[in-house]
Amino acid sequence: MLKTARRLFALLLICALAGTAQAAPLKMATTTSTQNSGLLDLLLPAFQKDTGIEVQVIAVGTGKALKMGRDGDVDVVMVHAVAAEEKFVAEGFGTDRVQFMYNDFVLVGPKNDPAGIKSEQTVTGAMDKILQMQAKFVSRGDDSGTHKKEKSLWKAANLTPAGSWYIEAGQGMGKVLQMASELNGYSLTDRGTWLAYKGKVDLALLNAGDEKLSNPYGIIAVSKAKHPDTNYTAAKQMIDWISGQPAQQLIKNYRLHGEPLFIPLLLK
Amino acid sequence: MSMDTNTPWLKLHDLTFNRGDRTILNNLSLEFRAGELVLMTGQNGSGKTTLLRILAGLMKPRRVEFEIAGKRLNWRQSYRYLREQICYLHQHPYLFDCSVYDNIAYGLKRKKLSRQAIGAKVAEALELISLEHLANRNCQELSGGEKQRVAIARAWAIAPRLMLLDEPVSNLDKRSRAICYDLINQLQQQQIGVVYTSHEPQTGKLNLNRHIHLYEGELSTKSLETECPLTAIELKKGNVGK
Amino acid sequence: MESLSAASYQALYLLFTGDSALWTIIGISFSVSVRALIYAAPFAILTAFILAYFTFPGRRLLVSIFNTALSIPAVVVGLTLYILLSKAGPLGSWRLLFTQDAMILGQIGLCFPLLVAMAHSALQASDRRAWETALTLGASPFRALMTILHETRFGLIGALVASFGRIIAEVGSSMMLGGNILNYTRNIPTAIALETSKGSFAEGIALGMVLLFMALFLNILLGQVQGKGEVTQ
Repeated sequence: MLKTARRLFALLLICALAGTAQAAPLKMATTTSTQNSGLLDLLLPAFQKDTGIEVQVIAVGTGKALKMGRDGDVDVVMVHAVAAEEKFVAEGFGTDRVQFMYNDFVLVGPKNDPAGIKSEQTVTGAMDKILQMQAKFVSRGDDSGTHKKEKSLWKAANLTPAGSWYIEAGQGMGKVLQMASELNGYSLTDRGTWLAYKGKVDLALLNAGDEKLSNPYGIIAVSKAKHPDTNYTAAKQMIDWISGQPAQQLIKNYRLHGEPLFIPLLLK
Repeated sequence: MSMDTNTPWLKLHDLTFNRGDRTILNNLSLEFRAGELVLMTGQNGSGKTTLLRILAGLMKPRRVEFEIAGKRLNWRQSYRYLREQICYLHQHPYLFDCSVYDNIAYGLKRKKLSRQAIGAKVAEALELISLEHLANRNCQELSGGEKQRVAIARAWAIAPRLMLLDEPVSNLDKRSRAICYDLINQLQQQQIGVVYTSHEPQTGKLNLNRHIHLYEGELSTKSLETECPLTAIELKKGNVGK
Repeated sequence: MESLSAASYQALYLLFTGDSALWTIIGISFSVSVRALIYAAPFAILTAFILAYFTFPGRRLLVSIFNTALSIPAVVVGLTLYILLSKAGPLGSWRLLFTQDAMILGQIGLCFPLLVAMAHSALQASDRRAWETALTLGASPFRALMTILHETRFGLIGALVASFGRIIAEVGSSMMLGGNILNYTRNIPTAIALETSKGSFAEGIALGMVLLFMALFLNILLGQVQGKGEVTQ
């Protein structure tokens, strides 16, 4: 009886030691659209293979992702909202920020394009037409990276959207695309979500390519100075790894529904 | 009082009621005259309550034919008339969760009377049962005897042709019983017919016109003197057999 | 880390300074849920009454169905209606999706089984003599029904309060059917979901407090009403 107990204890001890020997997992906050793009499913296993670090992904809106970083609830943040990222770093909550890839936003809308934005060269011209025609426009309205981008575009076009045609949904990108489809409205979306949803919604890609629509992704380690218990080592490892050539090549080769989605910024 | 010579205002023919396979009431025929006081006896479970509910139009028997004002009608054609003309009182009367006044006014409100008319009638009813002082009391606060009296007043107020009292005194003390009997006699004097059930022959001082007995679903109309032991019922001789 | 007390303090500030955005959301929540309850209650109570007072083939099965429907998650109700109301769905031509009417439909779907089940148990326990007494005193069946409802009012109010509590705090179907549109279909629960996703915890807590206060208020009210009922019985 005593022997069994001793053996059991030894077993428990070994398990406990094995547990500590393994590197602590890295907590990463990112946006739902990044998660939905499927890129992480390719990158993270490769990262774990190379470094032995397991990454736990928490996919939320941009605002909440940054807030989690601010509160020290995660170790690293991967988002796409340049101004908010810069503020986050400037306020001392993040370090080692790297812009490592980008994709782009696109304007989608009803297939018959009632506002006629398809012929517009610039995105601001397209948005001006939507406002002039009072065509329905479904906005994320959730302070997400995409929402911030949309607000900056209205501002760049010197327009103030308001009225019953401008619908502030306060939901995720996929839901907003479904709403735009149901309500015959336009919307601004990241290309990743668009590729994932275009088969499921009654919408068409109508305006893209303007350089204002570029959507750079940044990765930021949570400041060790603000939150000493953060897993900074692993975060730094992650940032270095993703800036490295093998990861950049993986990003370049990634395809969603047969189409390239991301363009690496650090590929030599 | 010579009601027996009156023509009956309501006749029943061929009344049969089943519960599952059991025949509770078997091929009964009955008739009712204005102002008649009828005692119905029978053992527990003999179908007294069922018969009263059918009479009140609250329960549909398997087979029945009513004869109202010379016309033969089925249940569907007559139950509304029965509900209007006949009032059934439960053994433990149900008083609505409101004041004594509102309870008595309940049936009157259904008759779309003016407020003054209702007020006058309720006052009259309260006087009949001598409970004027309890008009605004909630009914849940009354004693058993008071509840029975309020129930009778509530039925009396709507002036039915026939009141069906289901063992009205079985749970009352001696004093309340006496008041109740008095009330029943008064109803009779006002030409309101009463059917009154009891599983015991003790009926107190009532001016009975008729005694019917239910036994195994069959009805026997029995002469008052022979069926009820005189020691138990003090019949007022003058009213018997007229 | 922003402390909970700081967020709560800011929340109270928002509430009592009459932050108009916050109060618009609260107003939408109440207007939608109260309308849902008003539409659902008469039919639900009538259904409960029929199930409690009449016997007919399939009655027990119906009661079981309503009791089972209690545990249907809100999102399933939302999803079902979404499919029906979608442009491609059979009722797409009604153009109801992402309107307050769609939210009301969803909330009706949620509170109906609860109302039926709770009203049914209240009516089931009610005294059959009340029904017979009303009829024999010359009441029409409708009038008698009203009398029964008055006699069972404590149980029925309990059913209404519980149902209101369920639909006002429900997020799944409102989000799906209403779309969380600002100043139109954004109610307390969907706004909490949004504020949380934005990381604005103070607004989320302020709205959560409104729900909490309301639940407390309703329960106190219910306790009072039922306490009164106990005294008179």
